[in-house]
Amino acid sequence: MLRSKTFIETYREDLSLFRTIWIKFWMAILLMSVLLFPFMVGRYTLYMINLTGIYIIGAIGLNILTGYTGQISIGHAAFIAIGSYTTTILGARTGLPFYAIIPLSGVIATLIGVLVGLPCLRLRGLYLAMATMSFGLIVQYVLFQWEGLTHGALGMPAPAIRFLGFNVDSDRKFYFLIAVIVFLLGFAAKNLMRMKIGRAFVAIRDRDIAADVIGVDLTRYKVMAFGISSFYAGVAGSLFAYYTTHVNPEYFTIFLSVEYLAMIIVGGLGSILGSILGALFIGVVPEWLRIFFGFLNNTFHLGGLVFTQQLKAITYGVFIVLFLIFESGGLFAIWQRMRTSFKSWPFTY
Amino acid sequence: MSGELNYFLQLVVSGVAVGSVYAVIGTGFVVIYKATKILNFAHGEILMVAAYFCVLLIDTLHLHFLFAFVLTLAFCAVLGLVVERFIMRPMIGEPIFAVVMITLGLSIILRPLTGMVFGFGNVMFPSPFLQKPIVFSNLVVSHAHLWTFIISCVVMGIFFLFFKHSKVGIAMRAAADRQMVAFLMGINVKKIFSLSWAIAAATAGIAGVLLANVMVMNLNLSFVAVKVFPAIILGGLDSIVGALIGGLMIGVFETLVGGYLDLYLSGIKEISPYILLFIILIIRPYGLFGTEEIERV
Amino acid sequence: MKKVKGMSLCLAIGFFLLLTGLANAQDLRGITSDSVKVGIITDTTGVVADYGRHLLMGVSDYLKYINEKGGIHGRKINLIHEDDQYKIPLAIASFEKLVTKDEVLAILHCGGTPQTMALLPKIEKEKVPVIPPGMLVPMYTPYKRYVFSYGSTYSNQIEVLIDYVIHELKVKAPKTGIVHWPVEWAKEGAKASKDRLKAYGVEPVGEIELPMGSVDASSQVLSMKRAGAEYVIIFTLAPGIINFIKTAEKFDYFPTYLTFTWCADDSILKAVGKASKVYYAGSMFGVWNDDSPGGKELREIAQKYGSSPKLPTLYIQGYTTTAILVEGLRRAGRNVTVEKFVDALETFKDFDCGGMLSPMTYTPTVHKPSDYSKIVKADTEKLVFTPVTKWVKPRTVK
Repeated sequence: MLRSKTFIETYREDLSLFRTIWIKFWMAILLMSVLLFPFMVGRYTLYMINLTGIYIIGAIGLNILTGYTGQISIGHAAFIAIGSYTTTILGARTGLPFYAIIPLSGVIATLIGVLVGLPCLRLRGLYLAMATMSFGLIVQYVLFQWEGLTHGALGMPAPAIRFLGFNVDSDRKFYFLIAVIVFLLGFAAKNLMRMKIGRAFVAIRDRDIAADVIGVDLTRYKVMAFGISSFYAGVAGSLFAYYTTHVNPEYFTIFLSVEYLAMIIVGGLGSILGSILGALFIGVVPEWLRIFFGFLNNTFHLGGLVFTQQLKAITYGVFIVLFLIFESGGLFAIWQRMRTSFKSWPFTY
Repeated sequence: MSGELNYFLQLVVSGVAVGSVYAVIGTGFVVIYKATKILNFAHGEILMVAAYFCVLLIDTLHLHFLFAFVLTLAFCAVLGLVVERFIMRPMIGEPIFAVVMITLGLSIILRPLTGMVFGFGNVMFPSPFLQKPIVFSNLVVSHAHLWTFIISCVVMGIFFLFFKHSKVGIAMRAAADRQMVAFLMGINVKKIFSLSWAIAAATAGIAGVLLANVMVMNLNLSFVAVKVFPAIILGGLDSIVGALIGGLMIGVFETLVGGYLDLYLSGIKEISPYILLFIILIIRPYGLFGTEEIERV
Repeated sequence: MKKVKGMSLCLAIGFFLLLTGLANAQDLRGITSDSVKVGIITDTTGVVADYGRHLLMGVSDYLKYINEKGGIHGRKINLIHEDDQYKIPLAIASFEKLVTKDEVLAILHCGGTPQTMALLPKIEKEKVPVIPPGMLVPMYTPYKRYVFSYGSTYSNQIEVLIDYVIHELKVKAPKTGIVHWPVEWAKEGAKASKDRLKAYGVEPVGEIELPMGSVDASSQVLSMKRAGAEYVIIFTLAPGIINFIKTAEKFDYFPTYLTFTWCADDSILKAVGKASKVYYAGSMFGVWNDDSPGGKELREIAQKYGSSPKLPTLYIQGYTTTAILVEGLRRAGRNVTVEKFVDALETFKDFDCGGMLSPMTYTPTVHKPSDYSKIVKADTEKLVFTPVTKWVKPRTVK
């Protein structure tokens, strides 16, 4: 598969996301399999994949903030919560259709993200992590206490989605909705990161004082990073609310934020594909584990309580540790290596 | 003593009591930070494991508390050494973000593992302290809390002197500040790191056992460490004395808020330390007493 | 190349492993000629793990007992357990798995209150009978054919208890404080307490939150003491109430504790000892040592399988939930289907599991919790609870 005859002849070709015919071919195959997927698998699998799709959106958001811009945030769950609750509150109080509510949830989350980003401008590293963590806890507290708005611990139901006269209520229909949004937001993020904004973000991550010196407006771009990241989180939260049909403040804990951090670390910091791989990993591996351990349990009649949830948690803790020690680029780096060796086959030296 | 004044003072005393628990936990965080510049997110899990281990020794092997306590500290030190050797050692030289994430990963592993080994239920620690509280001019404090306070002061004193005057302590601070330079100056950085983790884990052991004495023990014990973050930021991440002061201040603050505001703003007690933390960080990005980091570009 | 091939092979296997089998005829879901499959979703490793495990213990012991006696109408009952860690998305995933992959007839318990609430639409859609503790009004109003709330509500339990204090203990205006864990069922209970007290013209002297995992309850205890509360109504779980009572003991404060089913557990008394002094609870269950046929059978089963549950109340919950399932299967007869099972449950009238559960009545239009609760009192010598009333209903207060 050695690439030949890849001559770039115009600037347009140089800038395009998919350069060669090969890549376009594989993207088409991917598109086809994504379209056919829901008809090939059972409902339960589809449920897990849909949740993973939502994770992907959130993970891309966090990667923009933490992977590209280097701002550690342990408060991501708070923005997802804001997205979810905006959806349930707007759904309960207004008659807005879903294609208005989802972006609105993102926008409200963005506004709050900017409000948080501003005072956090001077914070670095661990202190920023602490501040975002506190913010996350405070948001959870408000969700529990402001009963007039959020029904507190009772949680709130999400509205149903009606589109062109039919209800989007089955796993399959949700799959297409989520897939469309994942594609849109994923491409948007990829392109955004290739533009001036993306380069500014990376500059801030690598050496923010130096970036400031060469003219990158730290305030503007740091706040932007918080804003964009929160937008993605808000949309993910909105979809989450629609899909699980009922939100409760108990779900949006620090652990959820840590789970997202795990996704982007395992997937690869600073890469959109990395976010996708990481989210897939964290979303799907637990199910494989469950099946694997269930299979062991039945074959060997182990009886008693099999600690599948625990082993799942331990496994992804172990993976985080292993990835950090051995492959700090995450799954993305592994994928890159595979691709390069594939590309230069049979000349693997 | 008038009723109102008594109420206030009692709240302060209880605040100091709970604050000393925070202080002991906080000291462990600060020790690691001072020696390695890492914030160990797995500290809560280590203290939880220590508590369970101690209960195991007392309940199953019927050892006397002091004996079990010492063994627990030894166990913790070994645990610290193992963690350092296999998880932290390969990360020497990596960026701080990655190292902190690894401690987070470790905490994700330790919690369910502890549950699998020790069980998921609630456990009452077989407390060696007298149950009847000490009453001093209408103010009440339990034995367990008083001992916690004394121990936290003692521990703080020991570490303060250690880091300021002893050779090993100074070597630790040097290694944290400039690893490369410390290597060049002949400091055995590997040994220093191992030692710091062992000591910090042992401190976690003390904290775990003391904590288990004052509250019902279960897997959620590890979350108390999260409550200590405001205390150590307040006191400054690299100040041993700050850990004690910060812990006490948060304990008193929280209890006072609870005693006066809880009736009106339900649940404000739990969240008040974090609100305080957030505000402090906005005003002083390096905490109240932390040293500002000077970066060269 | 090898690496890529290997990876694609793994992915393919993975996919196939995840594909579901064909669906059976919907109505005979979970039923074969010699077995019945039922599911249960409880938290066995999360925040309320102790509770989930004991519930599971009660259920599996009773099912073992029934199966050893030959099952119901010649069918053994197989139990499939899923752990939801008290989290809504996991509960939904567990539900999906039990219904679409394992194809169970019914689900005995579908997680905690928030999880059950989130699952209500799916339960009706998939037509899966569930038997959850009926803790919140939306679970039974409006009528839901497949949701069989059991037991009495926490509101009912505390109302019965407040009635008892005012009428039986003859305390006209009890100075009462309310302490609760900030979760929805506890807040419901707190609200019901307030409403009931107000109905008697009594204002509570204070209301305070006590989060689980609090290191220190001093400020809460001191606030209550300062407000002069001689009666403290508490809505929390064991660790919370143990923390409160022990802290109160420290401050020489011994109010009369008024609580509900989950705090009517012998384990709490064993933890606090004499500090509980005067302690009542409104409960939907009989006590462990109950002198009723259900109590005797319960203790016999526990002894047979060597279970000595640390949380007896949860074991009793398991026993009674299963008893409802078993009785439903019994009444449905040999030719059972999902719908026939539901119809059978709807014939229940004052069914109280041999004295161990509030009497349950289900009709084709109403599946609400029982109006009856029992009041139990702590015996500080033997450290167990003993009943002081039979099943009582709240009075009508003018």
